Amino acid sequence: MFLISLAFSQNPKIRYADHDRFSRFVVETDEEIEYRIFFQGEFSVRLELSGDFDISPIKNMESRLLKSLQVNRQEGKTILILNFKKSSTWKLFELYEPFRIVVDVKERPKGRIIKPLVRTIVLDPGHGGGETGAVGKGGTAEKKLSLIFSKELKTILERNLGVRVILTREDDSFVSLDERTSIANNAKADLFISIHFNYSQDPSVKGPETYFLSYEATDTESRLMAYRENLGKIKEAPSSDIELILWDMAQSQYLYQSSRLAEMIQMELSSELGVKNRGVKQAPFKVLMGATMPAVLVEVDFISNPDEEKLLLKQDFREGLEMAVFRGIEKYISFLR
Amino acid sequence: MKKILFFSMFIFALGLLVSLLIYLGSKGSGSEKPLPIPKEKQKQNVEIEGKKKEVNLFFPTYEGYLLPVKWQIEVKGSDREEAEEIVNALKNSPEGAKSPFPPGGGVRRVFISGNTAVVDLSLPEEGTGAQEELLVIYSVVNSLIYNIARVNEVKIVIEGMEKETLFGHISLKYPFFMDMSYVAEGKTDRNI
Repeated sequence: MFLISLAFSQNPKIRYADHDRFSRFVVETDEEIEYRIFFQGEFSVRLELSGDFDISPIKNMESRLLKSLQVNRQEGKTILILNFKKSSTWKLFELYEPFRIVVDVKERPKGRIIKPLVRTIVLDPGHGGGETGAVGKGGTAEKKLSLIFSKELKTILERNLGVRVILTREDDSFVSLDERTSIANNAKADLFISIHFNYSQDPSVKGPETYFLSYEATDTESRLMAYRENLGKIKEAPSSDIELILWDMAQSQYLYQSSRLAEMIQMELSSELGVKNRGVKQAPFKVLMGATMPAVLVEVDFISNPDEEKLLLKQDFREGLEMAVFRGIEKYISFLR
Repeated sequence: MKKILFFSMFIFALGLLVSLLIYLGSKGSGSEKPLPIPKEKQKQNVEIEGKKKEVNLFFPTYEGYLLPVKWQIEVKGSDREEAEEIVNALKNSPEGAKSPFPPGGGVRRVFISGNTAVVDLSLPEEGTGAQEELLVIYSVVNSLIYNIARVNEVKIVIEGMEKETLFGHISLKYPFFMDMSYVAEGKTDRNI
């Protein structure tokens, strides 16, 4: 890992470094500043800082993923355009004392467009039955809210996109995570969207988080390869075991599309909720592993925030968010075309 | 006369040889008590037992990231005991962060097999979001892999059993690798 620090007095400090699986770009300031971040395709991100700052552009960044930093100043704003060397996704977060804007850039999984049309969408209301999921301070259960939201979203998608929408559960029943994915696979669905509501110990947190699957965290791929290699040495291979690992690998060829779908839903929901788009995240979600189509998990908003919990119980507020998810899907379909 | 002298010497030499063999045989047998540990070694062991070691633990923050915190743990004789010390230390809530374990939760045992640490957790049945679930997992995973050289992956089991997920989101089927993208900027040398 290397570290480059370019410090200017009274100006934000810009630094960046490569880590094992991502490159980190940091803007550090003495005081908290206003800023906005814009999604602009797969090869760059635009960060607008409020204020006139003397930041030097960087032509050639010594980094695995970061290519260059362009700097423009206009109308009291300093615009940073961070260009990537490879098609990448990013996520944003803030740190304090001192104030820092951190952008983690990760190489986008490689892939190509396989199915250009969307005819069937499976919506998966998170949790259910004895598995309540998170519970808001006002007593709202995640399993109940995810079901209401999914049912309303189903109506919106059917009406506006003319697609067939299937729910993995229609009532408060327990459905295992593998069964949920099986429903989507058996229906030959073109998209799988798992609907959840988030929880944080900090009651002020609000906003969406959209995830797609990560294999890196557990290195499932190399485990599968190792298993395949070992199979040659085993006389009677336990076929159930290899089927289980193949199931876990099913999503791997759809990661590229999944990342695009996640980005578009995340962008629309962030804008609807009036929060900064913090980018998409990756994690080894059990429910996404076996999906043989682009699949994402959306944590629509935080029910741990008492204000958001109250709003989420209102149909018109939910409709705004459901329309945002619809717009995200619509943009994804246009991207396919 | 010469014959008698020679015979006597032969009997004496044979006696000596038999005695030597009996002595060597008794020395090699397990019937004898183990040799006492030299005093210097004893002193050294006592010193190791009381010795503290600094480790970097990764505690979840309210902002949704992991905060690296330097922590003193007791030096133990084995990696397994040290791993248990590390996971047990995560029950604390340092300033600006919190324990990954909800009240009533914690570690039951830690086993180490090859390069894999198997952490057996006890967690109360409760729901939370994906972000909090990831922080619980990576608080334990990063704290163990960062500090114990031999460990490069961590498998999580609950109450001694394999479980699909902790709280309904993240698959526990495969062991996890260290992931520093959950870690906020801190004092550890691997972060900026």
